[in-house]
Amino acid sequence: MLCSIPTGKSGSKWLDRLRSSKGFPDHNDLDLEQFLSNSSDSKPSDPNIGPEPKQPVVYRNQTTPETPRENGEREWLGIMSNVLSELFNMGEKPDDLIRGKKSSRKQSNPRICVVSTNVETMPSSGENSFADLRPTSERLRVTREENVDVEEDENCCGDMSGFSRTEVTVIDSSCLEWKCEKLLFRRKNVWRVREKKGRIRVGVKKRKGRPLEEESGGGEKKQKRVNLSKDAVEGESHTMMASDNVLVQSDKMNKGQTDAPDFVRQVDLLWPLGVWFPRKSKKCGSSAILVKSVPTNKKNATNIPRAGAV
Amino acid sequence: MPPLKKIKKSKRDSKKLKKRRSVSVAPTDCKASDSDWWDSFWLKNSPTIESPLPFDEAEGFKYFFRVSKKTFDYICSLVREDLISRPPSGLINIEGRLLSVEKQVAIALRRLASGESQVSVGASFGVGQSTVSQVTWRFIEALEERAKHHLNWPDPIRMEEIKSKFKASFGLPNCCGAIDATHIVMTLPAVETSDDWCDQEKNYSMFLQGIVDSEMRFLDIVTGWPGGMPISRLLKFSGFYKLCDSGHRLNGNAITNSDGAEIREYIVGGVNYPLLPWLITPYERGDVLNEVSDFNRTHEAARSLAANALSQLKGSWRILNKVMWRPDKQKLPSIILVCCLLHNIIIDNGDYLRPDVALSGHHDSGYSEQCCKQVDPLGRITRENLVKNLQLSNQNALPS
Repeated sequence: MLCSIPTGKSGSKWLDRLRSSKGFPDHNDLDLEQFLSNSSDSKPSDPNIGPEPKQPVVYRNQTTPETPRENGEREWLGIMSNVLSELFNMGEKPDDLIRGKKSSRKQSNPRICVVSTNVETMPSSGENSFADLRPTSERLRVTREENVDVEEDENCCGDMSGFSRTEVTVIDSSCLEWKCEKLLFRRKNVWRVREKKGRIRVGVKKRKGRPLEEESGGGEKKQKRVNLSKDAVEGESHTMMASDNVLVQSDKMNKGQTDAPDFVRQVDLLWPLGVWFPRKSKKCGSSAILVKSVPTNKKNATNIPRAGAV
Repeated sequence: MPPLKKIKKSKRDSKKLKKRRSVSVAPTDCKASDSDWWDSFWLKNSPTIESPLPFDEAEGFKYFFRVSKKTFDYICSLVREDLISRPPSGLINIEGRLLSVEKQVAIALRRLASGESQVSVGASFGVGQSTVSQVTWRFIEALEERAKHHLNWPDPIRMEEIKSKFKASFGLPNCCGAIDATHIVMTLPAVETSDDWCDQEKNYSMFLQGIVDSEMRFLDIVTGWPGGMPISRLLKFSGFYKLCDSGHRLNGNAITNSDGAEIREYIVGGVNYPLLPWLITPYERGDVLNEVSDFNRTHEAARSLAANALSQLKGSWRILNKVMWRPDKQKLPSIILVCCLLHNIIIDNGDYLRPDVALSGHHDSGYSEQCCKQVDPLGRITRENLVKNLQLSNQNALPS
């Protein structure tokens, strides 16, 4: 590493020695900016290195002509850069790469929605708008044939090869646990759903004085038992958890009927409606999501304004 | 020597206790919190002649936060325990003061209501972008647990009220609600795993399905499913479908026409939903004869309650009406849920929405309605009975 604080005494000699060892001429008439702009592939020297106010730097390209070997490397680098640019959207010309200028590898204009062979590219930011949605036309009421929704047993354990797999977080107010994670499998118009093992219980914490059995594991049907809320009893709102995690609120039961189906009778969980508000965790994660005004596709580019989540 | 160690330990313990005490005492110092947030916010965002802001302060409050001050205080009371700032984790503003619960709620409501960027929302409150992000998410987490009682399926007594209102307003007997779905549009990275979120209009989107009552109050919602899913599949994946299919919902008393035909409890939905015994859709346009055109008109009027509710939802909480930039798909359902809860809280507290809030157009503008061909024979019978019931009602209504 270069010495950063040269002494006044040995400064010039030291620099001369360095120049001569690196093959630079020792004249002091070159400008630093000129050097930096023209020889970006060289490590720019720190202006503080030199003992004098005007640090003499050399214009590397002038003083050190390229050797044939360097020419070859440069060509090879150019070829590789072109290949890399073909593969990745580097957002710069290969020439820039040769010069060694680094740029962000993130796409300046991210591509969206690759569903067909045609890859649509985001329009430039000039087409984006933060303006609120202004429906330019009424909703298209022309009905068209719905894609045939293939009926399949969603709980069947068939072969899932060829299916895409997506983890989804679903909030369903008709379920005992409003929020749960599911695995969604899709092959064209065939959709299958699986319960994800280790069901999440967001915001639900075990509290002292509130006995709540944990879910039985092992993929078996879950059964729970909680204290029946007084309010729930007063409201005569009998709710139970069915085997498929559906909140069962039978109006017939409200009328005093007891002929509930077997699966209802087996379940021993009574859910206090609307009165169980476990305290939230204080741990909070940041959910910073950038807001950029880029429409999702060309078609709706002018219609849909943009927003960021939370 | 051992006794000395004990003394040291006891000293350490006493220090810990003192520390704990000092931490627990700090939140009670309310003087340090930012309680005059509204005055400074109103001053900073005061209306000008050019701006569309109302000059009345109460109306201005509603303009910014969609709720009246009374409802705002109620929302604060719901989430206070979760949002109260406790040093050292308490959120502070630029001046170094703790953020009051009221200011946190205001920041979160403004973010959800306007859909503006975190930076601009933060600037209007004098806080940074990261504070807006943290505060909003804390608010969402708190409200989705604390306000669940504002979204539930009605008990039989309440259901009778709903049914009577549907009958009075539209002439539909035993109707319990209206169902509709909308797309929450977002952008996602161009990777293969995003493909399942691509819908028929080539947008990435997430579904929100809601069932509303006669006051456009959400009775049931399901969200989180990809927007590319057919509506019929969305319905079938919902807990509501499973309950209805197994006879545990919409299982109240049927009514009997004068000709003896029975009409069970049902909800109304558009042509994109299947015709089921408990979900009545309109006749397709090709099938419409004079005798059923009245029914279709009536049906559409009732069904539009759900569409209007979604328009109001997306208009009130504009974050749902703007394209979200690569949202966390695990968190997005919570945002949607909280907006629905706020929608219900507004109704439950008797607030009225400003007329310029709801979307002027359709909530799912740009999406065409796809016709579902699935017809259940029992659903067809129920629909025919409804047509007869309407005809009889109209005949009785005619002056003799």
